Amino acid sequence: MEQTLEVVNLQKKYTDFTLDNISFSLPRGFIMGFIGPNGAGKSTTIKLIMNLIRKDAGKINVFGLDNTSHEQNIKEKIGFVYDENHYYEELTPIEIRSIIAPFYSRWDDSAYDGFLRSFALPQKKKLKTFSRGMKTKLSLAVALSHGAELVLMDEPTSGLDPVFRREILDILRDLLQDERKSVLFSTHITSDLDRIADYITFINRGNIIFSAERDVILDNYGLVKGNNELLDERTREQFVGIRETSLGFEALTKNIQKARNLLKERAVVERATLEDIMLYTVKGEIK
Amino acid sequence: MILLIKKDLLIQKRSFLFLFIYGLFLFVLFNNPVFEEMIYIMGMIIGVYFFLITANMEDEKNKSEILLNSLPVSRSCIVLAKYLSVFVYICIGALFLGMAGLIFQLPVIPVTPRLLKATDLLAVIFLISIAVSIYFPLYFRFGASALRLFSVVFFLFFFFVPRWLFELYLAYEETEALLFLKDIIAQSPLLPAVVVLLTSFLLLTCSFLLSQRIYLRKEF
Repeated sequence: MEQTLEVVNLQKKYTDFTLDNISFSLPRGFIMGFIGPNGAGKSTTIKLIMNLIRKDAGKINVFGLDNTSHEQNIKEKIGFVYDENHYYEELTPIEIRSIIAPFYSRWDDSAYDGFLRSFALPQKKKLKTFSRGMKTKLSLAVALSHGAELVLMDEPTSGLDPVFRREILDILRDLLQDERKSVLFSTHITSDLDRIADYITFINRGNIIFSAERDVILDNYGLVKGNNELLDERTREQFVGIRETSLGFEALTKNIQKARNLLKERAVVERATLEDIMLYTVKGEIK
Repeated sequence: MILLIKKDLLIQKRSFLFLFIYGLFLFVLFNNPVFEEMIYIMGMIIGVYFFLITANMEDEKNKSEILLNSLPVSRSCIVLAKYLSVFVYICIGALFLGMAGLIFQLPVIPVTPRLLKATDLLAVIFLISIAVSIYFPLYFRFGASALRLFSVVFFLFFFFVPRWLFELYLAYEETEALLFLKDIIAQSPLLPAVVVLLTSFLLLTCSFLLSQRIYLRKEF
């Protein structure tokens, strides 16, 4: 399968944080949810892909090309939506276009106008009058108006109210039917990915916990609920994380089938959500 | 490159109005023999300062370095555009102050300043080249906000320098060294222009290379 993005043994060290030899790849035409708690290394990874910060080691290939030596060619085909607005607040969407469009050889004016209309963004109002959701929509309009083949989205829904979040996700789902486009969507709100992600990469404390197809992950991980008497050394070994209360326990397993075979009818074993997976993996044992 | 310069102008449309009004005030406020000779030079220096600082502050206020560095444009190009934009600001300053100076030639206005001369432009190019050669490496290293107070004091210094230099010149006008210099200039009138432009070019080139080195290593 053709890979749009390949990250291999990527490393970046700070005094208080290390992105530790992470690897994952995003096939062409798919949407990857990049999940992890705040401070896990999601933004650092995206900044490294965009060459906004320098890597200490490893390799990043975008469209099969090294992201530093072919930076301009690559960026020509990347659309980006960051967690906050970086466009000039004193300008209108029309003026933003006059600044941004000439940088891209494949800029499409009619597509941009179409997005502004369908996102109900006023063309002649200054950005400073826009709400956070409107600014995110504008970033999305710019990102999708120059024939980008990879769209990087760094926490685009953070800080948005549920209505705006749903709206942004619906827009994304409708727009990203194009099979040439790949999307890396970073978020700590895992429910955002329920309906749109094909792949999930989970990062925690600078390490990749897993990177696989979403359905495979959700088919394998399970949430086990039962009485505390079931918890012995053998059962505990099956769990990634456990939450124990006086009423019983709730635990996450990586192998739902194995847990079912082991516990049979003595416990309830159900599919885990991405939120369950993230919570139990990050927290481990919760008492 | 041109796109980045155009961007710096677009984000500060109000600066044009400021420059024109400021030009008009300047001719009224500094309408005296002490400042008359230096009025265009001082005016253009403040004009360039205003455009430059406004563009940089707007970039910083909107955290637009991240935006610019996400576009298909090289970091060297971003740095070079900042240096070249200074010359665009000098041209805008010359145009607006020149126009303001022309308006004051109307017989109904009691104040009549002299007109803009080529030597004014030459002096501005020289002084601004020195100023931005120092300012830009610091800007690319520390950012506009961190340098806010420094840049006000720094450019004010360059605002008053022409006047001090002129006073110095008047004080030592009859000394042997200055007479010798005047003699050389009289024999080859283009020499000062060549020296000024070459020195400016050298300064700016060295400063650009330093800024480029800083910016290429910068992390956002």
